[in-house]
Amino acid sequence: MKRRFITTLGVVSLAAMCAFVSSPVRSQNRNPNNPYLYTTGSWGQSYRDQWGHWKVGLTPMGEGNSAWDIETGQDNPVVVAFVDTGLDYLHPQIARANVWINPNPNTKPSGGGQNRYVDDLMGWNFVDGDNNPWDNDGHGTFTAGIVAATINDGQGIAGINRGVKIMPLRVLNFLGRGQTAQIIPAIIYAADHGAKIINMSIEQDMAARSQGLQWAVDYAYKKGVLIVVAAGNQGRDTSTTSPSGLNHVLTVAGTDTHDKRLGFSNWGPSVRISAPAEEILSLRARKTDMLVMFGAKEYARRHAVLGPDAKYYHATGTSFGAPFVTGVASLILAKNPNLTPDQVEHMLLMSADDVESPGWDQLTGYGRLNARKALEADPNYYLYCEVHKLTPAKDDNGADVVKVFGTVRGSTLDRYEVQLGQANQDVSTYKKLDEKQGKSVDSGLVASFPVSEISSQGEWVVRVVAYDSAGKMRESRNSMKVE
Amino acid sequence: MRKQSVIAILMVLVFSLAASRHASAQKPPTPPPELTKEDVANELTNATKQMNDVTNHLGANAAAANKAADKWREQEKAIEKLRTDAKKEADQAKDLADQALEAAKKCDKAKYADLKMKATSHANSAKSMTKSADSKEAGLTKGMDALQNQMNDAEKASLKAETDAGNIKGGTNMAPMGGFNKAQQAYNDALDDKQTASDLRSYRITRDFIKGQLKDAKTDNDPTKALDGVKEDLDAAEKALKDCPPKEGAMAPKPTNEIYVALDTNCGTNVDLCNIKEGQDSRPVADSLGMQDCGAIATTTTDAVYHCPGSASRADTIKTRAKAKDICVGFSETNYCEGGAPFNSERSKFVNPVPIVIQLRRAVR
Repeated sequence: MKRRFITTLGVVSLAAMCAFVSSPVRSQNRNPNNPYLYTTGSWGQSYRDQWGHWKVGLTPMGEGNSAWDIETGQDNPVVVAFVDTGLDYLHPQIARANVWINPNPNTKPSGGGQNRYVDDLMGWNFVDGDNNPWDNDGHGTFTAGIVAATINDGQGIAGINRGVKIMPLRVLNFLGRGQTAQIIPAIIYAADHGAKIINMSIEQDMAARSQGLQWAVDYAYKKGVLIVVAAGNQGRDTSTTSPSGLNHVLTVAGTDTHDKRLGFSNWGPSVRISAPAEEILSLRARKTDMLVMFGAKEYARRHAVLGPDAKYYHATGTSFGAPFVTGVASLILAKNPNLTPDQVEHMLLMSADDVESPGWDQLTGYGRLNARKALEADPNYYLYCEVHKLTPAKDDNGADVVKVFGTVRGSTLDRYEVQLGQANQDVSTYKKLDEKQGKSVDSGLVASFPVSEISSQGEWVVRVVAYDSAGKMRESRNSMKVE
Repeated sequence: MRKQSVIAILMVLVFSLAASRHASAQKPPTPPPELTKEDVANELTNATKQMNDVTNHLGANAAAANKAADKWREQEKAIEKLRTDAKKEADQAKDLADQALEAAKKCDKAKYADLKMKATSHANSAKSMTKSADSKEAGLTKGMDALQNQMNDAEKASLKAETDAGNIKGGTNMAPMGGFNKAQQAYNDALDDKQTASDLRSYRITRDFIKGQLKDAKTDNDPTKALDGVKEDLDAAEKALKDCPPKEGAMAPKPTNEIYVALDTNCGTNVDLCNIKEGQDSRPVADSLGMQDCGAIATTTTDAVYHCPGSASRADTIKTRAKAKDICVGFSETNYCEGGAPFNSERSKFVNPVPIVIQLRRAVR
C-alpha cells in the first residue's frame, strides 16, 4: 500500500501536488472548493481574500447558513448583461457554459450606425462596432468574475451563481472610458436579447443626469429587466449623477469589512443598498492591469495582480459592490424566474442588514446586502421609509416651518409618525409631531412642522417611523444643525 | 352661337398677343456710337505706335522665337513625361484599389486598410502631377504664343483704325494717316525681310508642332477614368466591409489599438426621435431636422436614437427645429463622453454628505 502511494505521487506534478496538499478545501470536503474563498492575507491583508462572500452569506454549503443552500443558480440559468469593458472569455474561470451564446445571431444588419449586430454570437462590442467584446481593460472581467467565476472547480475564486449566463456588452475602452452614445444602445440590446439583469458599474464624471440613459433604463425596466448600478466613487450626491441617480435603477453603495460606508462612495436619495467594495478579489483579464490603465498615481505596476499564473486581481470601488447585488439578484431570479424587477428589489432591500444610521440612510440605503435573507424574503412585502431631505421654509401663512421630504410606502402600510428630538437623547424621548394613516408618499413631502417645535440650538434629529398592518416598523432619520 | 363667340374672342386675343410680340421683335437696334474725327485720329495714332513697336522688334523677336524652339521642345517633353507618369500613378492606384476591394469583400480589414492607403497615395500623386503638367503647359503655351499674339493684336488694331477712318468724312485725309501708312509699310517690309520671314516660318511650325504634341500627350495620358475608378472601388469596399464582421472562428483576444483623446469635449449630441411607427424609416425625419450627418445608434418599436457628431450645442438647435416642425423628440442632449468605470484604490479621502444646516437663529425661541 505504501509502495503504491509513492508510485502515484511520482506521476503527479509538483505544482498539482502542492495545490492538493495546501488546499484546505479538499481536505475538508467543502463546497465550493475554490481556494481563495478560504484563504486569508494573500496580499498582506488581515481579512479573508473573498471576505465579501462571507460578509453577505455566500459561505460553504451545508453549514446551515449559506445562501447557496437555498439556490446555486445551476438549474435555472439567468442571463445577466455586463455593460462594461468587455470580458476575457478565455479566462480559465470563465466557463463557456457561463457565457451567453445568442440563440439567434443576426445574419442581416438589425441595429443602427455601427451597431449592425451581424453575427452577434456572444454580445456586442459597442466601442468598435463589432461582435468581439474582448476586454482590454480588465474592469469588465473583474466585475463579471464576481458573479460568474466557476464554482467548485478547485481553482481560484468562487463566483456567486453557478448557472449564470454573462452577456458581455463592451461600452468602455481599454482605459475604462466610454460615452452615453455607446451605453444607450447596449442597454437596449440587453433588454431586447433576454437579459434579466443589467449590471452597470459605470459613472459619469460630469454632474448631470442623462435623459438618454434614463430613456434606455426605462425601456429595459418596462421589459422586466433589473438594472443594478454602482453608486460611484466621487463622494458626491447621486441625485445629480448618471446612472446612479436615475429612476428605475438599483443603486449600490460600497462598504468596508466593518460594514462602514467607504468614504468615496457616492451618497444620496437614490442609494438603495450597499455591498462589499473594498479590496475585492476577482478575475484578471489577460495582459491587463486596470489600475495602471486608470492612471492611479501611487500604484506600482502589477501590484494588484495575484496568483502564480497572474489570473487574479484585487481592487476597491463601488464598481465591485454592484456585482454582489447583481449576483444575489440572479440567484433570486434563478429560484423564481417570474419575479418582476420590483419584486426582486423588495427582496433585496427588505432583507438587507441595517448598517450606519438606523433604517434607511443616504450613505448605505437600506443596509448591506444579505444573500440568504434576500433569497428567503417575501417578494410581495415591502415597507419603505426614507427621509431624503430637511428644508427650512415658510408655510402658506408665512410661518417658519421645516419640511421633511422623502418616501413612505408599503405593501401593507398602516401609518407613519414624524418625531423630533435632540441628537444626544434617546429616541424614546422624541416628541411625536405628526401621524398619518395609510398615506403613501413617493419622493415627496412627508411632513412639515413649525420651527417653534425646536426649543434650543444644537443638533436635532427628525425621525420618521412607518408601520405596516402587522405592526412591523421601519425608520429613517435625518439630522439638522440649528444655529 | 355662344361657342362661336368664345372662339372669336380667343382668336382676337391670340392675334393681339402675336402682334404685341412681333412689335417688340421689330424694335430698332441700338445704333453704334457715332465716331468723331478725334476718335479716329486717336485710333490711328495708337495703331501706328503699336505697329511700330512690333516692327522695330520683329526681326529680333522672330530670331529669338526661332532660337527658343529647342527650349520649348524640352519643356514640352518634360510636360509629356509628367503626364505619362501621372497616368502610371493613376493606373497603379486603380490596381491597388481593385485589390483593396477584393480584400474588403473577403473581410480582410488589415489588408484593405493597407491597400487603401497605398491606392490613395498613388492617386494623390497622379492628381498632383496632372495639376503640375497643366500649369506648366499653360505657361509654355503662353510663352510660345506671345510673339504671334503681339503681331495679331497690331494687325487687328491697324485694320480697325483704317476701317474707321474710311467710315467718316475726310477720314482718309486726316493728319495721322500719313504716319499710319508709313508704319504699315514698315511692318510689311519687315515681314518681307528674308531672315525674319524664315524665322517666323520656323517659329510657327515649331509652335504648332509642340502644341500638337502637348495635345496628344494630354489625351493619351488622361488619368480621369482611372482616378474615378479608384474612388468607386474604395467606396464599394467601404460598403462591403460593413457587411462582414468577423465570424465565430475569428473570435479571439483583441489587441489594444485604440487612441483615446482625453481632452475631446466635442462629444456630440444624442437625439431620440419618438413616435416612429413600426417599419417607418426614421432617416427622413432625422434629415428634416438637419441631422444628415447623424447615425442611428439604437432603435425600438417606437423610437430611434441618433448620435450626431460635433459640438453639443446642436442639442438645442435640434430641439428648436423639432418644435417648429412639430416632430416628436424625446430628448436631445450632450453625448456625455466622460463616463468611466468607478474604481480607484487611491481614492481614500473620505467625502461625506454636506451636513444639513438650518439657519433658524432668529426663529428659535
